[in-house]
Parts: sequence; C-alpha cells; structure tokens
Amino acid sequence: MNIKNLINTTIALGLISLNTYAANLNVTIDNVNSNDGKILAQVFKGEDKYKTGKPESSIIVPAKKGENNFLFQNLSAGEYAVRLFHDINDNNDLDTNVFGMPTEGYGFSNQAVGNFGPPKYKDMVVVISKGAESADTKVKMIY
Amino acid sequence: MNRREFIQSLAVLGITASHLPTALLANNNKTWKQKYDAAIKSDPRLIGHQNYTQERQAESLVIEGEFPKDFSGTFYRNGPALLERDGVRQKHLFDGDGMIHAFKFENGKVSFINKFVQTHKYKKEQKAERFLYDFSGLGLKNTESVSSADSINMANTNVLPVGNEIWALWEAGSAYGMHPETLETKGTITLNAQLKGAPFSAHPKIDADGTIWNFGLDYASGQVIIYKLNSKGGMQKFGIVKTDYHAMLHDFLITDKHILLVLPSLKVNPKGKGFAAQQQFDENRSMRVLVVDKSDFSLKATHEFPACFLFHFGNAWEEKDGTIRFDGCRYPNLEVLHRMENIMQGDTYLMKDTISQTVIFTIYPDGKTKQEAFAGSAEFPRIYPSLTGKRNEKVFTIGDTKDAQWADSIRSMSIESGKIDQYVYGEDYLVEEHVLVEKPEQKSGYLIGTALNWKKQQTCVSLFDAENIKSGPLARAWLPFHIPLGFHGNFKVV
Repeated sequence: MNIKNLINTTIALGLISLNTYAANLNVTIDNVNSNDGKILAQVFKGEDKYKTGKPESSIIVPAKKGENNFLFQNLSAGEYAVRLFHDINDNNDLDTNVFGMPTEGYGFSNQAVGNFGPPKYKDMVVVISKGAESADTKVKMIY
Repeated sequence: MNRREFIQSLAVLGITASHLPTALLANNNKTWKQKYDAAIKSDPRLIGHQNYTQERQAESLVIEGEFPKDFSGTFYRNGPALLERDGVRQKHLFDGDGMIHAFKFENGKVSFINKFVQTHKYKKEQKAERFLYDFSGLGLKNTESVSSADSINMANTNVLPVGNEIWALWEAGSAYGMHPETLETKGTITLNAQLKGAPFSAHPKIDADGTIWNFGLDYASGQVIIYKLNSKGGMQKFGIVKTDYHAMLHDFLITDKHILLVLPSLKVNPKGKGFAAQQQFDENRSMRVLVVDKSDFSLKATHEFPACFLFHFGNAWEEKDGTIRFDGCRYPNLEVLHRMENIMQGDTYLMKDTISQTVIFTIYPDGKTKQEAFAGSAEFPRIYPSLTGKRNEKVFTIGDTKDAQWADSIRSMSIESGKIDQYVYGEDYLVEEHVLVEKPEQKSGYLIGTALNWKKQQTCVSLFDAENIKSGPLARAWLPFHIPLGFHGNFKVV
C-alpha cells in the first residue's frame, strides 16, 4: 500500500466511522424530585422519526434526587431530540390525568418546555457535528 | 322595583352597542400602571383594585351594634390581591394572585387574618421579585413557559371549607388546601392520580347531605369533568361529559337528580392576548343547557336559550312534572369581562351592557324554554345552603342603585312574587358578595358580607337578619385598614 492509498483508506475509514456510530450525547437532567423509580429516555434522529415515535436508541437509568446524568452512545452526526420521563411508580408508563396531562415528571433536550402545549421539535434539537466526539444537552424536568 | 318583568327575548332588553371610552384612546402611550396610578388620584374608589401585598392580623375589631353570642364561625373570602410586581401591573383583574381573608366570630368578638395562597406561581415570582409568566401580553422579558394550568394557577376566586381544611379555588387548575386557622398553604389537592392537575372550578355545589359536586372544563378537548366528593373532600366518583365548548365556564348547577352545565354564548379567539381577551361573545350561538344524570353522569338532554352570558347561578330545582328551573345573573354580552381590563387601568367609564339582572330560566318537559327577567342589577347570587338543588323562594344578590361600576346594596328577592327586601349601604361603600349563614330551623338565618368604605379606606363586615335586610345590619365590625375587593367566600359555622 502506497502512501496515497493509505491516506485514502484512512480518510475512508474515518468517514465510515463518522457516518456510523461515533459520538456520545451527554444528557443532564436539572432536577429529579426523588430517588424513586427510574428515568426512561429516548433519542430520535430527525423530526420525522421524532414525530413517528421511532427512537434511535433508548435507555433506562435509576432516578436519583437532584441532577442526573447519562449518555446515549454511538450516534452518528446529525440532528437529535431527546424525550424522557421520570417513571416514579415503576410501571414503565408515563402516567397522565384524565385529560392526557402527564402526572409524572417529563422533559426534552435543549431544555425545551411547552408553552400552553407540548414543546416544538425545533426547540429540542441538539446537533452532533461531523467529527465531533460528543455533544451535550440539558433537560428541564417538568413536574 | 317589585314588578315582575317577563321578557321573552333579549331583543326586548334594548341592548346598546358598546363603545370605546375616548379617554383611553388618548392615553395609549402610558403603561397600565401609570394610567391606574393617575386615575386613583381623581377617583379614590379605585383603592379596591390597588396592588395589595400586606399579610395582616387584627384582634378585637371595632364593632357597631352587637354580634349575637351564638353567632360563631369564620367567614372566608378570596380575591386577587397582588396585581403588580417590579412596576408592571396585570391587565386583567382575574390575573391577580389570590389572598384569603378570614373573619373569625367568637363570643361576640371579631378577629381577622389574611394570607396569600402560596401557589407555585406566587412562590416563584415572590423569589424572583418580578412576574415570570406572561400569559396576557404584558411584554415581559425572560419569562417562564406555561407547561400546565397549575403553573399559573392563581387560586384567587373562591374559598370553601372542606373537612379540616379550606380550599382556595381557581377554575382552570387544582384547588389549594390551606389550614383553616393559620391560613398556611399545604399544597395542591390531588383527588386521585388520574385527576392530578385537572381543572376544579371555583363554584362547587353542596347537597344537603354534604356531598360536594363540582366540574372542570378542559379547554383544549372541550371535555367537562364532573366531581362527586364526600363532605370531607374525599373522591367518590368522577366522570366526563364531552362537549364542543372551549371557552370560559365559570359556574354550574345541580338539582336533586341532575347536573346542569350551562354553556354561555362564547367562542375563543386564539389571537387574543390572555385568557380573558380570547373570550368572545357570539350572538349567533345559543346558550345551551346540558342536563346530566347525577347517578351515572350520562347526558340526558340539551336545551337552548337565546344568546347571553352569565358568570353565576343561584340555584336550580326540578318540579314534579320534570320542569327544570334555575336562576342566574344574566348579561346581554361579554362586555363585563373585557371591562375588567379597563378598571385595572383606572378607567371607570360606565357601560350599560355590564349590568346583570336576575333571570329565571325554565325548561318544560316538552323541551320548550322560557326566561323571566327581574328589574334591578343583581350579581353574586346566593341562597340558603340547605335548599341547594331544591325549590328556593328567595335569591340574595348584590347590586347597584346608582351606577354599574360597583355594588352599593344587597337584596333578597322572592322569585315567586318579585318582592324585594333591600338595604343600600350608600355611595361611600363598595359592596361585595354576601353569603347566608342558615339557622338550624332552615329558611331563616343571617346574611354576612364585606364592604369597602373608600372614604374611610377601611373594610367592614356586616351581619344582617336575612329575613329583614332593609332594617340594616344587626352588627358591623371594622378593620382598621382596607382589604382589596375580592370575589367569593363562604362561612364555616363552628
């Protein structure tokens, strides 16, 4: 293999690597209100997948009072949205009241909060840039 | 005044077109607060809507006359008090943070305490020393999002003794539980997990057996939740009634068999800035009465009346043949709601459309309907509590004999004969809701209520013989200061 091929191969490998699974998305939840239950979180790649409810990855972490941190691994570059809830009673469901309002804590990436309704996708977008090893996003927990 | 007037349609009322006060138009570059501050200098009656932040206590109020020794209990009232923060004045009277006022009667003496309801909104804004939620176009910067109705719950409309607590009520979110003596806020009332954060109106109705009925409208879906609670506030049952109504729904009624959801002729303009501004009168929309079965919450019938608006109802009952009758304080349109923005900026310009009058609505078994209006202005209707859902002869209201801005008088009126028993406080007084404290023998008792004397800048609480109002108060207790004009209250007998 000559030098040129080596470089090309390296670049090609690098691109493949970037285009498949490379980066981490670090998520920080500002304020979980108890140690009970767990946090169920999903990450979506792009608006269509968010709206059709097809997550790229899901994670379950034990809830702890105060700030909580976890990460989604091996995400390719692109636009993401995270949604999560605090399953305080461990029934694996986001409980709601009779009118569909969540009665357990919930939140979205980029600290998106709805105003008289759910937040908009564009407000929860977090971008993983090409070549980046990680991206950070914060979630404001709404109880 | 004693003549009973029969009015078949609203057209007979001769509704006048509303018109904008010119003074306001010329004054548009001033802030809401500047306008109010300027106006109160020339019209001291506006003290009733002044920003109020003082939590106070007063022992042994100065008493005129004599409170009966056996008259014992606490008169609770609620209303918007905190109207300004950081130089910003709320636009609508409904947007002030709720304050509970408690007058305690014991051995002929009267004491007083008042406290803010420590709502999520109040606590957060108190800490920030500014308004954080801009839901009515105040033009605030760095605001917080409104993620649920309870995030802006002001708990400012009514207060109801329930079991060992008092509940401060709003209409779009949860009730707040408070200690009946100290007025310390305990937190939101969650009746069960499915009802957390659900709307719980400010006008519960209580059956003779103590059962508490209430409703709450989910504006988005148009679904109305019906609550049936025991006398201690424990959930017995709830159900949903589906409607296509999404606008303001303030009050409701019960009979012995049914729940009446009365949907006034309102529609929503989503472009309006704030809840009140979004509410629009729709003269082409009938007022509808949904008759809901108390036993299973099923919708039995829907009846229509000519377009009108009402905040409040006195009572409903059913006759043996199934005829339903109820009374309410009817407005020809919704100007009264929008006028509360004018008052908040100190404009006391008067419009005839903001006068309400007692109307008896009748629904016959064949579905035909009738309205009968009674002369004189009337609002805040109350009845003897034991007659809720049963035939009542009298309805007790406040009203004004001179102009329509503030009430100056109280009255009872026989809805059978039209006979009126009235007491006029006089022009120095801004009269608030008066409620009945029934004697055990029923259909007799006391009428109690507050009034703000704007000349003295003091609020008084007065007790009347409910069967002889015209003789004037049996006794009156004076606070050494004034409290803001509020909305509704209730008396807890001890």
